[in-house]
Amino acid sequence: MQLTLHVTNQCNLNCKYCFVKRGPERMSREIAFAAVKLGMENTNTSGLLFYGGEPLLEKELIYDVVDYAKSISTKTGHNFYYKITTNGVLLDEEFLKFANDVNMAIGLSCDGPAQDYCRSSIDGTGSLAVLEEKISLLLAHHPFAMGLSVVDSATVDRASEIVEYLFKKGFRYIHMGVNYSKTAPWTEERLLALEMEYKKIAEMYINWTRREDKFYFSSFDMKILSHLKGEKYNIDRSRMNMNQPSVAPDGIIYAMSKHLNNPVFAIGDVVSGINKKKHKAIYKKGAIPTEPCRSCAIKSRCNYAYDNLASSGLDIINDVTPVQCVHERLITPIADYVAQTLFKEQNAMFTQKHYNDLYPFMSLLEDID
Amino acid sequence: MRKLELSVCPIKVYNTPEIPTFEDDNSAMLKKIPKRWKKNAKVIAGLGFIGALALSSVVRSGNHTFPQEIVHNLGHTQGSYRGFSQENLLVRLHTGGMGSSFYMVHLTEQEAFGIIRARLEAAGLNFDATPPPRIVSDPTLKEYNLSFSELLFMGRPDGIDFDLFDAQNGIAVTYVRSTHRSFLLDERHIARLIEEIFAELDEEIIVGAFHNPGRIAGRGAPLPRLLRRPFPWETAAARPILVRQLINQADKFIAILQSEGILEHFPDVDVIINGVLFNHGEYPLIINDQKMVPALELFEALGMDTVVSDNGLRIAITATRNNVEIWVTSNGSIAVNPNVNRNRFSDWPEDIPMLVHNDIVLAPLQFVADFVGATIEWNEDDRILNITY
Repeated sequence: MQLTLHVTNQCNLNCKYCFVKRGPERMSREIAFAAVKLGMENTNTSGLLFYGGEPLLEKELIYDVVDYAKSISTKTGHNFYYKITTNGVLLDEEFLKFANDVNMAIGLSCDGPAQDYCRSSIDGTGSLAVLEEKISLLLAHHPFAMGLSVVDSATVDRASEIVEYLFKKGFRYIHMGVNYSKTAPWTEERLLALEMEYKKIAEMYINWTRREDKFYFSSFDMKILSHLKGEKYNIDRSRMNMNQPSVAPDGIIYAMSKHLNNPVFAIGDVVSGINKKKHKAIYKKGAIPTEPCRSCAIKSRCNYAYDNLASSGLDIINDVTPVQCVHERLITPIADYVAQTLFKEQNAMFTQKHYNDLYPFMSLLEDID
Repeated sequence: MRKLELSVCPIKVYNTPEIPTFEDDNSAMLKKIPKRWKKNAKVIAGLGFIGALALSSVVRSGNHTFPQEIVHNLGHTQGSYRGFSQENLLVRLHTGGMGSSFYMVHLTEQEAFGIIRARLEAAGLNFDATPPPRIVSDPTLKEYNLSFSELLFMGRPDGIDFDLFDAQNGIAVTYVRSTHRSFLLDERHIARLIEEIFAELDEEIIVGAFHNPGRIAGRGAPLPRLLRRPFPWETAAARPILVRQLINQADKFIAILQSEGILEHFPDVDVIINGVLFNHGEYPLIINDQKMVPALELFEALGMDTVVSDNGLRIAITATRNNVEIWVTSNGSIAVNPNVNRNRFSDWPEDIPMLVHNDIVLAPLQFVADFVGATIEWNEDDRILNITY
């Protein structure tokens, strides 16, 4: 199991689309240690993802938790892996060396040219200037860190610039999400702008692959994967999501991060453990697409037809919103165009990356100094 | 300008891209490698190494059950195949990140199956008979509310076969091998599913499904032996726990057989603790010569201080007296002096049972009594166990 530890609800930025409700709550050592033990149950390998708020506001806690986990590893042989998602403002040499030592994977939230608009400081000033230095520092220590960006309806015209910015900065693993919150109303015009941006990114993707650059772009690579895997794609995603519950600072466990503090999605606490029946029942709600998606030709490739859960009173519903539906209808053919173009060219980088069982191993060999 | 329908609008027809899926045989197109690989001596050496293994049939080729997970999902979730030093390469391959595809083997299939079989035979089962060619067909499985995915990923779409059969008692055993596992369902889940299916079926035989817990973090396709061989210290740490888990699987099944009267009952005994007849529950469960009795009642009868923590999810019983602390839970966990090390079983021998039956935590009477330092006297003639503490 991988537990997402929301070590604090405090944050030093004021991102437009953050789903975590800002507050003074901080996770205690006792809660964090109990979570470490809980994650160990029934498995020999477990993961800890440090999340927030801004997790680096709790660096000392992170150090302690990892030390504690390491001591357990020494005694029992249990394996832990660590990840962190940070806005990067507090990254420093000391933490990056520590992260290297314990093989902690780092994801840095960054919107590049849209950063100052979307991810401003609490006082309203931009954060890109600070972040640029941190990105250089991060990639010097962790060349395989992931760049995490979000497309907002207000900044959609810059989506391709964001991807290009991250790539030029040196990120080779780029994730791009879409802000679907009500704070960012999407219109037809904005969605068409997004389509245009995806097409620009598609050309970049094709060119980079032709150049044999090694990179990962979540929006397209996952969509291509959905074709390659067929029905299994969403089943796998669902299982994966189910295996990654979130722990709030007070120790309450939620089925998914985006519903933190929503009692409907509470499935236990770190002392008592997880109520597996409830956990399973929640995900069962998302196991079958609702009407009218059941008849959709791309439902098995849709990121929202399954497990797109929300609460309605005390009920849990699985509904695709109109914007999400349009998004999937836009992006799927573009990703397929990318795949088909590179496949027809018999591009070896493309086929190895997507079809070779041992690509990760070969990739590793390349990365060894 | 093109118009978009801003509503949830299913697509009726979609032109599927003309590129192969994982269902297809893609081995031919993988012969072409990127130029950057050709220039990299380490990659070339790696390709040679893999080629040699493939030739020796250690690696399955054309099996697309796991790798894309790594490429995509590790990337997607900031997984951990990147940025390794040479020293920890193998360790990281073993332990992986989320969605790791590399598993190590602490117990071989033969060992695990052997432990299960020996435990069941010790309880009185006789597996000399040839297992019936039982096939549960796909439609039958579907009647039991298994989803398509569950059927598909059980790795046995054509049905379920048996490995051992006790003809006299009508008991069949199916052992879920690692080849049945997938990314979605590991052996444990598959075993549970099989038991659920047969529990629902009104059959004359009783089916037990077992699995090897001695593999971790992985999916179906085996990797080169070198990569999945655990380090000795890892095995040393894991093995006792895994053996206990195997024995626990067998004991749970034995308890079911005994309580349902399918397996021959052992003659029961009367238990007297500190001069008082001990009410030891509904069934005369005796596993590996240990009389299984409700744990809480036993601890209290022995005069131990007990704390029961019932939070609706799991009942944990902590019993202490003098310097002994025993901690058991309704999900079958045991610990001796749990504050020292919760997963330590070294003070609790692996062949001593500990199980949850009919939602009651059962503890081995003689072992616990002996463990806390009580005096045990056995009267064979009257079949009375006299315990004083």
